[in-house]
Order: sequence, then structure tokens, then C-alpha cells
Amino acid sequence: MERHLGNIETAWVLAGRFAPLTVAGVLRLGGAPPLERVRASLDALQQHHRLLQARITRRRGRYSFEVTADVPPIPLDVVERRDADHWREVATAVLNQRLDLETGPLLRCVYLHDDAGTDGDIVFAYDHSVLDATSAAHVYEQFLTWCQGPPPAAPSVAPPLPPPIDDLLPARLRGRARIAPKTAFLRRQVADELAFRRATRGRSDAVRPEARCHLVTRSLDSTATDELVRRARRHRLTTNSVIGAAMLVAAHRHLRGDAGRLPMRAITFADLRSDLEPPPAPDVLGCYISMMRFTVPVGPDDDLWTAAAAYQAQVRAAWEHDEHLLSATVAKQLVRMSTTIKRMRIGSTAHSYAGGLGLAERYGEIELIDVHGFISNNRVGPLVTAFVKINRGALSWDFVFLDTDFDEATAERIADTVCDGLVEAAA
Amino acid sequence: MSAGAPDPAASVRLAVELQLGRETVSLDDRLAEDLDADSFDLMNIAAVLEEDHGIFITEEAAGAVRTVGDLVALVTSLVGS
Repeated sequence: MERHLGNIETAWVLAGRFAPLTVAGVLRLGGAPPLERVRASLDALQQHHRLLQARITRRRGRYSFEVTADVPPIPLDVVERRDADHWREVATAVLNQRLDLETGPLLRCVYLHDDAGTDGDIVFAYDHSVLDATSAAHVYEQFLTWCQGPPPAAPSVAPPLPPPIDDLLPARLRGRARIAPKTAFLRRQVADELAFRRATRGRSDAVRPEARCHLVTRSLDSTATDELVRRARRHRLTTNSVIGAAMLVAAHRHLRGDAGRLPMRAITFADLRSDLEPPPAPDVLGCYISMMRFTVPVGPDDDLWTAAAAYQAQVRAAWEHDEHLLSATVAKQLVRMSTTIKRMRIGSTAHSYAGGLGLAERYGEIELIDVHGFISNNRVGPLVTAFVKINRGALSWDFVFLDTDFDEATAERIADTVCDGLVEAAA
Repeated sequence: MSAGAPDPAASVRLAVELQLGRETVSLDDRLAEDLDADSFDLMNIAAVLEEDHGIFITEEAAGAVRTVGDLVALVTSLVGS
């Protein structure tokens, strides 16, 4: 069984050839499941999802998911858990390593547990082409459910490989109908690029030599989270816009100092599932997202709500032009260009906001204490990147910084600036 | 529900219809897939319902809403709590 990768799936693979590009998903557990249950649950996951039985091959210049009998079981490494922060070291190692896509499978697992068997941490390493945040949450839900007892039998007929975004675009963007809006989109992108370069001449963010990812986590408590959401709605702003603006304002403060008002590049990721025809169900694994990039002018004294309104105006305009869908059809070309030219960073900030992940607090004897998601960054990637979600009512950030951009203390300060700015705005 | 307070089902339908420019919606309609609501629409609908009923819809609760009926059930539970 085989199918060609879609445009954005190929973009992930190409970016991963340039530098390690791996997602680290972390489940922090109280009441660690026995090792044999973890193994059985991983086996069941692989039996139920074709993408977890696949590897990625390249023939005649095209990449494909290929399901063959020689793709190994999901690898499970067992590590003695040294302390409650040990997972950070393991997740950091995951971010700085390439997965072996050609051998497969495209998901691996590290289980950190101690002899007492009280608490444990699961670190999944996977390729972004097989799981977006919706799919990852579904995999975590099934994994934890099946860790409680005997997992279900293998399905008699395994589902087919899920289709790529390219095959599910709305009718108005299929075939020849796509040409005019795509041309207009590319024209706007070029105009924005030229305007950005004129306005930032001599001030573009430096491309550093090979760098290593390191991670920083932050969270607001649930009261501050609710207050922020409440205030945002009064301003008619989405939580995503406010988070994106807070990261831009913090980046301006730390990167631009007193340079005054400057255009800054922000990247946000859009969940396309409900826009596709037919919409893939949440239990269909895949990467149904796109990367959207905007230029937002930011000044040193901007108040968060003003910056968020400017940010949202950009997102809204792009959405109305179908750019969230169109950008998924040119992602491969953009990655190829940025990793070939290697002269400038693709943005100052990037974030992916998943909202609530919909996971339970308990799965039988297992308590799900926290969930994290980190994505590798590289030297042409943005300077400040984070996966943001709500767990147990609390908004939290999983930042990834490069050690060549910021030392650990500076990275911690930037993360603090993002959160402090939001707390202050919500107060 | 106190006298004069808006009926949750009626106010949800009205908020959805006005925000999305629909003449009528049914409880089974999926907000995103069937009615083409995007995240901006959903934020505006939540804000209007919060103002109408003096409630707060958490981000997680809003994210779990799929259909108009889900939204009616959520607002009804918040008004009654």
C-alpha cells in the first residue's frame, strides 16, 4: 500500500532533510502503567492506524508513504526515571535528532519510569507529516485508554491511508479554479516580501550556523487564563490573536530594543479539518494544518490589545482570501526556497495554538498530570517558537529556542515577558 | 430561568443566524462543517451569548462545541448553574 505525499507533507520532509525536524509529545503520568501494558498499547495503536505502519520512501523525485510488512513495531526505549524533570532532557534529545523516515515507523516512544512505579513520563517522537495536534490528542487518548487493560483486537480490515489535504480542497480551489486565487495569493506574498525587505533593510535577523534546540515551559493559572479569554472576547479578539501578539511584542522588546516601530513577521498554524471536503474526522490521523505568515508592525510601547487587533486584522484578511488553504498548496516550494537560499529567517515568532486538547484527567489508575508538545526549530526558522494549549483550564506554552540565538537566561526572560504581558493585560 | 431573561435556545439560534448570515439553523447543524463558522465567528457568537446571559464560556468548553445543539446545551447549563 502506497500513496504520494501531499504538498505540506512533503514540506515537512524537505525541512527535515535540512535540519532535524521532529515533534516531541510528552505525557506526564501519575500512577505509571506496567511496561507490558505500554508495549501492548503501542502495538494496538500501530494495528489501528495505517500511517503508523508506514515509512517514507523517495522514487523518481517523489516522496510516498509506503506500508510494508518489514516496517518494524513502534520502538519503545525504557529509561530509568532520574527525577521529575528527566523528561526535559529526553525531549530535548528528540528535538535534535532525525527520525529514520526510510525505515519507519514514523512514531517512536521513550518510557521513563522508576522502580517504585509511582510516576512516569512518556515521550513520543514523531514526524509531523503523520500527526497534527488533533491527531496527536487522539493517539494519546487511545494510548492511555488501552494502557488500562487489554487493548482491543486488531481490526479485521485496517483503514486505508488517509488522503492528503491536496485531495480534500473545497471545490472552489480544485483544478483550474485554483489558478486565479493562487496567483493572487502569490502576488500578495511577493509584494509583502518586497515591502518587508525595504522596511527592515539592515535589520533582518541573522542566520546562525548549526544550532541546537532547547526548551522552556510556562503556564498561566486557570483563573488568569479565564480572565484573559474573557477580556479578549470583550475586545472581540480570539485567544489565538492575543497569544500571537504577546509573542510578537515580547520578541520586539528583546530583539529590537529601542529601534522604534518595525514590521515583524509572525507565523501561525491553521487547523484546516473543518474547511476540507469532506472534513476528516478527528480520529483520522494526518497533518491537516497549514502555515500562515503575516507582517505586523510592532512598536516598543504598543499595548497588547492594540497589537492583537493588528495581528487579528492580518489573520482575518488572509482567511477571507482563502490563504489558510492556499498556503498548504505552496508549502513545499516555500520550504525549498528558504532552505536553499539560507539568508534570512522566515519569521520572528511562530506559534501553534491548539486550545483544549480534550484529554481526560484520569484513565483508570493513570492520572494525566500534564501534556507537552515541542517542535524542532532550525537556523532559518523563527527566533521565538511555541506550541500553546489549554490543559486543566490553564494556558501553557512549550517554547523551543536555539542556543545560538539566546542563552538560557535570555530565553527564560523572553518566555516570562510573553506570560507577564498577558497577565498584565488581563488584570 | 427568571422572567425577562432570554431563552438560551432562542438566543443561541439568533446569535448564530446573525453572525453567519443564515436565515435559519437547526440544532443538528455543525457550526464549522455545515455552517462555515470560523474561529472569528465562534469568538463573536460566544461574546454575544456571554453578554446576553451574564455567563462565561471557557475556552475548553467552547472548543468542545460541535453543533448548534451542543451550544444550546452549554448555554443552558451555564445559565442554570
